[in-house]
Amino acid sequence: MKGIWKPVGPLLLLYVAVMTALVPLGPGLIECVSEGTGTYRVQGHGTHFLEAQDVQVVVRAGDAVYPAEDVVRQGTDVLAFRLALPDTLPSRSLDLFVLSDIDGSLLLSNAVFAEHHAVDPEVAVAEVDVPDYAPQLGFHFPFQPRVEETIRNLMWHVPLWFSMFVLAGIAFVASIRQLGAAGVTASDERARSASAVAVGLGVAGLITGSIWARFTWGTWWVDDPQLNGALVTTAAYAGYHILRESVDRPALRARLGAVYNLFAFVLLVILLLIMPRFSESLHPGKGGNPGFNTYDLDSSLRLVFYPAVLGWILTGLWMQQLILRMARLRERWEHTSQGIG
Amino acid sequence: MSGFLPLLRYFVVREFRDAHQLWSLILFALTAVYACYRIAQGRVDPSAWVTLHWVVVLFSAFNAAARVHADDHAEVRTWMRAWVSPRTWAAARMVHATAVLWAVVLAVFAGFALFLPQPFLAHGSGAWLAGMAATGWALAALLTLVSDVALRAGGGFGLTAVLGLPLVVPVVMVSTAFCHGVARGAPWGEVWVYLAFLAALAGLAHAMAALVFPYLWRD
Repeated sequence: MKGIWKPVGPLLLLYVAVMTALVPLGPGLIECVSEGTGTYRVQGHGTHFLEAQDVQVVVRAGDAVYPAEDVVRQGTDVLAFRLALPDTLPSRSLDLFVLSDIDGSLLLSNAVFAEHHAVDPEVAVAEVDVPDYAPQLGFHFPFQPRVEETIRNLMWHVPLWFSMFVLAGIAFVASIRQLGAAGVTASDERARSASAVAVGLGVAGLITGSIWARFTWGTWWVDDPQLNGALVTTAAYAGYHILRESVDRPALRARLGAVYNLFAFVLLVILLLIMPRFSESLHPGKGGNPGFNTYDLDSSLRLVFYPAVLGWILTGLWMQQLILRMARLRERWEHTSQGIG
Repeated sequence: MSGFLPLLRYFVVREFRDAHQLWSLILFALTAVYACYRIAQGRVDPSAWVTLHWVVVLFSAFNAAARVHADDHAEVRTWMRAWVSPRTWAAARMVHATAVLWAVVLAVFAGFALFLPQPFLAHGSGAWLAGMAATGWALAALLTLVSDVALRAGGGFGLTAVLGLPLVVPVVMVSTAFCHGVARGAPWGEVWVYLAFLAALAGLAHAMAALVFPYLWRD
């Protein structure tokens, strides 16, 4: 019964993989393109414009709402409409709402820019009756502008880092215990195995992050404190293994490795937890950007994200245990061979 | 901390006795500055100036940290262990390394000011030197730790660089932010926080040294 938790991690990750692949993305609006003479075409994603009984379009400037005319459903995710705006508006930048009895209320911020209109923030506007449709959708992931389908990577990229933090923490504690002991103890191998898994998770986190950056920010790498910190921290943990390989004497190797591991953990805390708070960052929840929680307090993401975090942590711990056991078996085998020799 | 001042005096006396080591560091730094001047053909914008300055400072700092001193040899250290504690040794070595790096950084600054003068230096020299002093302190403290680990592992400059470069990145990030701020003429109220952060990093390195040096010295 002792190791019953071990398959839980991979099973959770299997659940996460299935959910990530199969759960559809909720509806959202991607872009609104002017086609001249007051007509516009709006591109949706995962929308149900053809299947809906009623689809309405309104734009909003400040507190004023203006209905669109001649709404034509050109496809399940394409709408065309015409805007007849008054000469004076509260603002030139208008938000677009598509209201549907299936998709609910979809928003595209700053979708229309009325550059030839006069602006008067106090202009009087007639009341418009806007329907309040509740979405009639099944289980789905929330649509985020720009992030779109790549939000599925949230279940892989972020938990990998959480898991790395846990493994790095284990290595840190084991290193302290090794420093406090005389000679080489089991803590040394525990620190080494935890750091090895931490490096693996860090590399996987960097790869998934780079892929995510390519599809949301348009480039494989950006000069972001979180990215740089992650790369440098992973390099520091890789340096720990290089240091260990450089030393032949086991006791000295254990002691130097433990000392450097303390540095690496302090570096992790400084670079990944402290410094991104003080500088501009593209990452959600950093540098003044809202985190995903701000958008999705009650969202379906949690039903997959939290198991993903737990799954990666448990899988990381299992991997660490496997490396630890392999090292012990190798040591025992070497002792046995020497005994036979 | 008994023995700190005599040990520091010993380091300083030895530094002057082997003055060629310090002069070789300064010569390397100035040659690197001159190479930058030739590569840039005498003209660089402030951003490139900060970058070049930083690269030279960083390499000079690693050069200084990778020097092997007499007390780095096992037999001398065994003798030294009899009359000074590891913490005292670490503190004296860090102060000595900081003084050496300040001399090198000053030489780099003078070289850049001579070969590639920048308009912002006319009003920002004081802030710049304050930033470099804090940077030198933080770099010297961290690299003293790392070079001792590398030395104990039997590695030289290569291992010091592999182990040290990731660890000095926070110093590099904060210091470059400060330098770019000074170069664009940012007010003191905007950039002083970077100096405080650098001082905090240096203080953290000293605290870590006090914690781990007894273990590094143990046989």
